[in-house]
Amino acid sequence: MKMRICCTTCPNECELDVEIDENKKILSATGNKCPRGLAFAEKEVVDPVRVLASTVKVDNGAHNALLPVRTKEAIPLRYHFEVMHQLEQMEVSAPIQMGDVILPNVCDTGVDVIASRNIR
Amino acid sequence: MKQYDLIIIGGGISGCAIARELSAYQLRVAVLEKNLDVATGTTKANGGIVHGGDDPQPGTLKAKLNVRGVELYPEYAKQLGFKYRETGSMVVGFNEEDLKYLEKLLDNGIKNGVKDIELVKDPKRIREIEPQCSKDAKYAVYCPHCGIVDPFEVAIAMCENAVENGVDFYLGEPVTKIEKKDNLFEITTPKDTYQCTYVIDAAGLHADDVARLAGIDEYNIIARHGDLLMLDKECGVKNLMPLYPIPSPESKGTVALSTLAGNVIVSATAVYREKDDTDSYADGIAQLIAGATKLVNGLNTRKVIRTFAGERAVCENNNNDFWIKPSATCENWFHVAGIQSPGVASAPALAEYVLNMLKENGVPFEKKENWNPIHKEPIDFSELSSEAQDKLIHEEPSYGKIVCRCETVTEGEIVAAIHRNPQATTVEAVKRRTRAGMGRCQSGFCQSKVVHILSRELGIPVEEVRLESKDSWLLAGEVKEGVTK
Amino acid sequence: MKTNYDVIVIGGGPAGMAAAIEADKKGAQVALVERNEELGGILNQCIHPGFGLKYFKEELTGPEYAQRLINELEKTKVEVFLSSMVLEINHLENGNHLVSFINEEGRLSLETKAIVLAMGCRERTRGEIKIPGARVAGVYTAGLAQRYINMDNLKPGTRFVILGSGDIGLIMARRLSLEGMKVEGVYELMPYANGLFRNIKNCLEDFGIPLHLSTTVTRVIGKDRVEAVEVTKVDENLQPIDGTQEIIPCDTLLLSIGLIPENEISSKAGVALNPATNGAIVDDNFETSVKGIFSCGNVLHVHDLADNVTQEAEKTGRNAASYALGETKEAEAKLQVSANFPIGYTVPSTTQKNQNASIYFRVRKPIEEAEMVITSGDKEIFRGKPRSYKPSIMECQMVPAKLLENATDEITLSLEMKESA
Repeated sequence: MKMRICCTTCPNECELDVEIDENKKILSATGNKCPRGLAFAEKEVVDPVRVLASTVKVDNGAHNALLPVRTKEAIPLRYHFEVMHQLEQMEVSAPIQMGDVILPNVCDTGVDVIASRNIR
Repeated sequence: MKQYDLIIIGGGISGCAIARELSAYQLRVAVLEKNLDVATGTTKANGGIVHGGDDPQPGTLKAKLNVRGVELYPEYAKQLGFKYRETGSMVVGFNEEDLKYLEKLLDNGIKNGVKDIELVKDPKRIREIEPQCSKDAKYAVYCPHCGIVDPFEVAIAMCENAVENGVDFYLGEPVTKIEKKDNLFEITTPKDTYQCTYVIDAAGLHADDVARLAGIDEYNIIARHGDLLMLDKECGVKNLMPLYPIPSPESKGTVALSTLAGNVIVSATAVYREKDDTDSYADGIAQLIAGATKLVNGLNTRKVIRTFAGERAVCENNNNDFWIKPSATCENWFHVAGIQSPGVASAPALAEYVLNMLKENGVPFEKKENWNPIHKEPIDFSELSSEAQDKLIHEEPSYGKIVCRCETVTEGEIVAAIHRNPQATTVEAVKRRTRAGMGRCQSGFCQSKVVHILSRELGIPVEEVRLESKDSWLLAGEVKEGVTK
Repeated sequence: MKTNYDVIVIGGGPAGMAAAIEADKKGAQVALVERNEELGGILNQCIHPGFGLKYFKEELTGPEYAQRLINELEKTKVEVFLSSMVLEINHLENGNHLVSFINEEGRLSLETKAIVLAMGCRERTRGEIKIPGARVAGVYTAGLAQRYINMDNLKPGTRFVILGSGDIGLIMARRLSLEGMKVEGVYELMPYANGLFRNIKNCLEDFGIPLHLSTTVTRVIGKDRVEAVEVTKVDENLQPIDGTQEIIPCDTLLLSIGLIPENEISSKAGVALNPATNGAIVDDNFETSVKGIFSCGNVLHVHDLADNVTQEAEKTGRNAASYALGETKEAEAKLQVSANFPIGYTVPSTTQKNQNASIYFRVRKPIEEAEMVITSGDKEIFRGKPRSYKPSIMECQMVPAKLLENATDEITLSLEMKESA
């Protein structure tokens, strides 16, 4: 099967034409300017992954009702709503430092949800 | 049940002007307004011109009240602390046919008693009077005493001064039922019942509907819809006096002028539509842009920041005139209806006229000894000197917090507006009193701040803050509810 | 209190912070004036990833990008005034400028040799595109909705239609979907999407949100709050096609229809603006028409990447410091820079003969294949390789000093279209 995939690894946004077999293994790929494009395509056809960014309620921030957070690495797209649900239930307290782990190892992906900024 | 001598139904500029006029006398007066603020109907959507008085047909009530209004406005503005500027105006003609019309208009104006009105036939002089007038203009009728106001500022100042002198305003109370028992009216709203001897029906577009609630069916109001445009302060034109084209029978046509704040407003189309239709229409907007382009030289019509629309209440089969008279079928009921243009220009004179009408109809009037006609104007931070700004911030630090960056409105001004009497309880009410959100970003930056200040000052959840009307909700609750406690 | 500075930076977003840091590094005494109660500007509400790939060489969220700059700024001697709104700039007889601002302490005026304008931009509104219909609650710019959701923890509605495929609108489509608010669709007047492709993919396709091109909102319907919008297809002249109207029930209309540099203070200070960008006219040092006043970031021209903003601001900060410290040489031979359609504008508007030039521009419509041609008078001095150009991407054309040797007193950038096969 032939597919067109847009690599979102960097602002170049290469468009790749890939051919995959029935096991979703890439047979051929053209259009990528660097190897990261191929790596992206390999994941994308099997189990697309994205960084998830959201917020968590802060119970005592001076100016901030919410703490912005994100997954440290990309996690499978299919877990995003489950992680959103877990973040919904949480509340954190200042002070918080950028990079602090807010929710470890979400959905057993080995990836932590971390704070995106400091909150005093 | 609350008891009054006289109740005014409708808190537009007419109702507010009458309330303020009557506040000088020993009468218990109340105003019932269906919306959450005064000045939310026709009053908030018009050009804000104190027209010279050349346009209305001689002999009409309109003509009389307009010309008298022009005389009264400067003193009114001083007493009530609202901004008024005498700008002069021109009705502009481009050809010989237009000249014929302008000659008639001049004659009209003279018959109406318009002071210093003049027919200008020298294009050079037209440009001396208004350098930004179209270069194609050949003739003009010049009214040097035409002026401009912010109509809602006028209405609010009148309302607040009336309140200072003992008039009660009930906002958010639409009249649902009116009964007459033992020569007393009983007026019901969703919140209360009010009893009074006299009623003044100043309910604008719905004056006829309100009268019918009391079983009075003497006239019919139809709605003449007008689109309007507001342009950025930087639109190529500054301090433009009102310029009118040769009018149609229905409307004065597309008028362009600079507002007191320095924007350009283009007003208004005229199409009969359903009552309460304040939608903007694409063809109307296009008509306004074409009209303004023809009248004004150098206007950048791409700089529109807001389109809006209003409706004027037109009394059917009444020669386009105001309908101000006692009811023919119901004693002690007074109509103040069909107040279309020049309603703003006429307001002070209308109040004076209504007072006399009431006196002639036996309403007892005795002057209050302690009536205070002076209303203190609110602080406008952006107009203060640097030293005064600094001093004010030291006295009250919230004047050092800018909320609306486009119009330089501080938190102090917003808090003050909210706590005036009556209170400003909606985002639009705050805007009308402070200009927060009226600038080029149209509240993109400040709405969230205004909502939070309203919530804090009124002690209500942010979700309950409204844009304008009771059901104009802004926010649907929290995104993250957090730990369920 | 210190009232004299070498450089005052107005704005504490990614442009202002970067300019202040670099000016400080050059040894200038720097103050930064920010209107919000914290630094970071609009980045604080852009909680999504996609920032920093170019500048920090890793993918960050907006707040992280801001935090890194804040951390850098804290290491400098830059004096930061928060919750402070600049009201005016006045010019002094000694050639210096006076920056007046207010905060809760009062009205302050600081004297400075150089100013960097870095106030950012604002969103275009409903009024500017004159959407007819009801004037009801529930019409928001995408950025205001973003603020409500990501900063204030408040939902601006429950069921959304988004007009405009600009990046903020796309990002908001994903954000709303993730937070359980319904997005009916994104409508775009143009026949192509305005946002970056990555955002179409990650924000719409991932969530099954339809993108309707050549379609616009022609009416807002409702009594008090939005109840529906009418959408209509448009023809090649962008005029609505009668008979294609469709009513989409919703309670909120989000507008993502473009950004405009916010230059109120600049124009009051006498800075000449470029009508094509709504930003200041600047030379290759990012100096405006007023001596000692510089401009960078989104207040100069709207960028698509914060990374570009920071890099531009760093140069500007260094230039402002050099000017203030008396290290700037007068330009020897100025070259006017202009461009032909479909190039919409260039920044800078002038450059110099003896220096390499970096000329930023945007195209007004997508171009499949064209060659960049630079001419001076009737001489061609440069011709680029054929490639594609997109309006969503700010381009940078480097012109080595050597090529400019043959230039007269101006250069013009043009795109020569290749005949499509």
